Amino acid sequence: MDIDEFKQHWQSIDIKHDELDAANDEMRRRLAGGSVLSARQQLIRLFCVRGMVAAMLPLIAVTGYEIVVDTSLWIFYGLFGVIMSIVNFRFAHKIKKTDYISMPTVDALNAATGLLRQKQLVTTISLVIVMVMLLLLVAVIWDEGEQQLLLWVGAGIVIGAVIAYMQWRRTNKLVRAMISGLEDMPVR
Amino acid sequence: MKFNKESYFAEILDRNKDLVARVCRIYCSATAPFEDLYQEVLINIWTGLDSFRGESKLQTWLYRTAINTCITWHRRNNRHAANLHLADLSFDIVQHDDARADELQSMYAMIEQLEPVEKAIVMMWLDENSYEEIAAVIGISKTNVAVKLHRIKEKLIKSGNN
Repeated sequence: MDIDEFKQHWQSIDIKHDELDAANDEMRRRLAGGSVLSARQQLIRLFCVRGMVAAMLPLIAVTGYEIVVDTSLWIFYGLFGVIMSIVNFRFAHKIKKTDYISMPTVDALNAATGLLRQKQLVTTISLVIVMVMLLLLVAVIWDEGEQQLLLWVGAGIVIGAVIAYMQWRRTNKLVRAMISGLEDMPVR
Repeated sequence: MKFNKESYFAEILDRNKDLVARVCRIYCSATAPFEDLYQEVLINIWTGLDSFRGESKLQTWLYRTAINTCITWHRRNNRHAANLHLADLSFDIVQHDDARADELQSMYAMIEQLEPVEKAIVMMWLDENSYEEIAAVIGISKTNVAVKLHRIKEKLIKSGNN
């Protein structure tokens, strides 16, 4: 297929207008009713929810302090919650203030790539911290001689680590794909 | 006269539904289905209407809104499965005889090989937009559009010969 043929095919594509018209009418009604959230708004909401959940970790840490007598571990845990809460609210704020839709495409892709890279960095750091905290927890349980609890915690760590690693790899692949999409794209 | 957002939105869509559908068709995949992308573009057109001041051409603004929505939506959600071939999905909005369907299938397969920004450039060129309009949407210079387009055409010819 040469380029002229290609162009010919493109320009002769037929689109089912009836279906599009019906979808347009439906969406117009829903949008006018204010009942639809964009993916961006949903993402902002998601980061806010994560931020609020993370903010609750210090409260759980206070409860945990009553159960296991290792102050440094629970302080560490509480601080982690505070930091993750701030980070998530910062992401929500950043997405809210950046208008990915109306900026030039290359800029939008650049901004989205930057955000994803930051998110990946935060995920990597937080995973390392979580692993350290879990290992400390394992050490505490070991000292207490709770063999059965140790088994459950160990299984949880392995499953969690596998899931986290898979997620991390997927995001990394995505970042690489986005960067390759931006290669050779000099900004005007 | 009071601005009626709902009727303006309906009017814009009525005149530009093919543009939106084509953009969504190019970027849809297994994890970013056509319907979801189309809906997301409509939401962003509706939201953006409040801030659209007519400083750029309406069509330029629509291309940018549709392309950026598809590129960023796709990115956020493309995490759970491999991309399905565009061509496999092409017949839910397009109906043709077998020979024509094959031609369209190979055309979509060729486009699928391109990077997201390359897809946007070639699609706008196929829609007969000027280099200036493409440059305005993508955010690169006219010269760069020409250079990129030349490379994209070479890529397409090469993949068409394979």
